Formats: sequence, structure tokens, C-alpha cells
Amino acid sequence: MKGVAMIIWALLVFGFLVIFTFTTVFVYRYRITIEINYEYNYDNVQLTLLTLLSSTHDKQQIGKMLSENFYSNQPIDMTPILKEKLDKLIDSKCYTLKVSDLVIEGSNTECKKNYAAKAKIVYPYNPQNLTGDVLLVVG
Amino acid sequence: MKKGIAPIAIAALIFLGIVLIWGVAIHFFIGENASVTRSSRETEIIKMINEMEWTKRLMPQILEHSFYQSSYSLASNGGYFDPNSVSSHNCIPYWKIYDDVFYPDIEDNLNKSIISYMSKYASNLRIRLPEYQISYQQEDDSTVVNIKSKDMLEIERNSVKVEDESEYTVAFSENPFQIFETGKTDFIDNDVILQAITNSGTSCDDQKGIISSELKKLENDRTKLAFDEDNDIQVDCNGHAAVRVLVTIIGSENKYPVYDFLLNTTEMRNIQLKFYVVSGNANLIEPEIDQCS
Repeated sequence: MKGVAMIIWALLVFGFLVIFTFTTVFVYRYRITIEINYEYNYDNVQLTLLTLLSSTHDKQQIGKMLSENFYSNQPIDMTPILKEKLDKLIDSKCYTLKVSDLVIEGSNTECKKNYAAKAKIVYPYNPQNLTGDVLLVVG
Repeated sequence: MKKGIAPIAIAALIFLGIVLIWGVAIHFFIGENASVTRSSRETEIIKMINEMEWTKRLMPQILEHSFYQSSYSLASNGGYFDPNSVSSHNCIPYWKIYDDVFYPDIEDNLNKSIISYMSKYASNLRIRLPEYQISYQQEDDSTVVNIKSKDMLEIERNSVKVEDESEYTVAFSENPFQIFETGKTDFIDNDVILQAITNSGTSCDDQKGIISSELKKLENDRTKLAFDEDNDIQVDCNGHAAVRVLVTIIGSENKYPVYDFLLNTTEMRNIQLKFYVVSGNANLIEPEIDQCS
């Protein structure tokens, strides 16, 4: 009887280790998949932001327009221009774009925004404020 | 089988099984770790390439802001990158003190200034600029600026370094050289101030007033002269006179967003060349010279 109990105990330890090992491998693999998926989506958001800033409106680059608008005596309202471009670039319409005080929200406001990307724009020379950030958060 | 051997054999088998399972798991972790490391490096490189691509698009804008700022600052400093390298008053240099001429090397100073402003942008964006050679192609009212280097533009983050070729050509609707040339032709080559003194005649009565009105005649929409009749015009009633004027020449009606170091603001301003000239047929004025801080 003592031998049988020992075998059962050994099989339990064996079984636990098998389950533990496979669970660890599965969790590890699952986490990596999530991280790679995040990086993939982050890269896409970064590319979307750079595509937006590189695109043109009336032959002028959007990034440059944002920069010049910052110091212009007669700044133009860039919201409709940016919104139109973002709606074309982001199918989910779930986004927030921030440039200085300007904040543009996508029409889909009920979604969760997970991925953020940031790019710099350059302003006309001012030692206190040479560059600014453009932030895009997408869901 | 002897009693006691069976449990030992089972334990040995279980031990072997565990070693086998852990062997497979460790092999999996090592392989996976290598691919995760490779994948994270690739992601980092993709980010850096994206950043480099965006930086390359920013470079013409950096050159544009640096060019306009340099043209403005240089013109405000009479064409000198460092106003202390020449006799100056209130940071405005003397271009002429009687027969001594201090005309700046505009191209060299403009190069130094553009590089200095571009470096400030580069430092803010954490990019490494190569040593640029700058060349200018001047048209009547415009300038085409080309910057190139045999070295590469570099971005380095977390031990990943991305390099790319760095040559840019940008056309500007302003020719800063023209304004300096106008100033040189009028106030150094033709010495219109001395001509004004000569035109005033030799009458001692109200000679200062006559010189003053002759100087006013030199002014137009673009050229302005500032002087104090009591202190900046001196006559000795023996036919000798000397004048000190602050010359301001406005480049064009175009305005650019530039920073003014006296007002500490960035606003739309046009480029204005400023310099002092002391001229006359006798050394009756001792020019004020001070350090620019």
C-alpha cells in the first residue's frame, strides 16, 4: 500500500509539473502575441500620423501648415481639413489628435483608444519654443 | 522484482519525464527569446526609419526658418554674426568711420548664422547634423539655398543608429544679399553722406540744418536715416563737417515669422539692415563704441 501511495503522489507531482510547464509556455506565448500586436498597431498609428503630416492641402504640407498657423497673425481653422483627412485614414473614426491647443475628436466617441503616436513639428525660431508635438491616439 | 525497486524505477521514469518536458520548454524559451529580441530590434529600427523619414521632411522647414531668422538677425546686426568682432554701438556695427571701411563678409556670416540656428533645431529634435557646405543662387528678389555634406544625417536612440544622405535645396522669396549690396553701394562706394555734406556748402550759418535737410533727401520708402542734429552733425565753420547716421534699409515688403532678440517675441517682420556710418571732410566726431551683450 505504501508503494501505491508513493506512485500516486509521484504521478500527481508529474501531472502538476506538466500542467505548469504548458501553462507557462501558453501564457508566455500569449503575452508575446499581445505585445507584437500592440507594436504592430503602434507602428500603424505612427505611420498614419506621419502620412497625415506629410499629406498636402492646396499644395502645402499639413505639418508645415500646423507650424505656420501657430505664429500666424490670421490663423486658419484647420479642424475641417484635419478631420477630413483623418476620417479617410482611420476606418474606425475613433481617434483624438492634439496639436498645441487644438484637439480634434473622431466621430466615434464610444470606443477605447489604445494606441498613441507622437511626432515633432518645427516652429519659426523662438529659443523658448522651437518644436511642438502632434499626438494621435487611435482605437 | 524485489520490493523497493519498483518505486525507485517509477521515480526515475518520472524524473526523466520531467527533465524531458523541461528540456523541451527551455528549448522553446531560448528559441522564442531570440525571435522576440530580433522582433523588438526590428520594431525599433522601423520606428527609427519612420523618424528619419519624417526628419528628412522637416529639414527643408528647418532650413527655411533658419534662413529667414539668419537674414533677419544678420541684417539687424549690420551683417555681422558677432557684432563684437567690429566697432559697434548698441550692437549695431560701424560700416565706415571716415576712411576706414568695415564691410562684413555677408556670405560667410550668413553661413555661420544658418548653421548655428539649424544646430539649435537639431539639438531639440535629437538629431546629429553633418558639416554642411552652403551655396546660394541669387535671383533679383529671391534666393535658392542648397546645403549638402559628404557626411550623413544621423539619428541615434537606444543604441540604434540610422543614417541618411543629407542634401536639400529650398527657394526663398527674399534675397538678403541685395539689401547689403544696396547699403554698400550707397554708403561706402558712393558715400552719399559725404556728398550731402559737400552739397550743404560752406556757409557757417545753419550749416547743420542744411546738412540735415540734405540727409533727409537721401531717405526713401526703403532707406531711413536716424541722427541727432545737435550731436551727430558737427561743423567747425571752416568748411569742415562730419556726420554720424544710423542707416536702416528695409529689404522688401514681405514679412516672415522671425524672433527679435530685443523684444523677445516671434512675429511677422520684414528684414531690416542697420549699420552706422561716420563720414565727413574732417574728424569732428568721435564715434561711440561699446560692447554688445
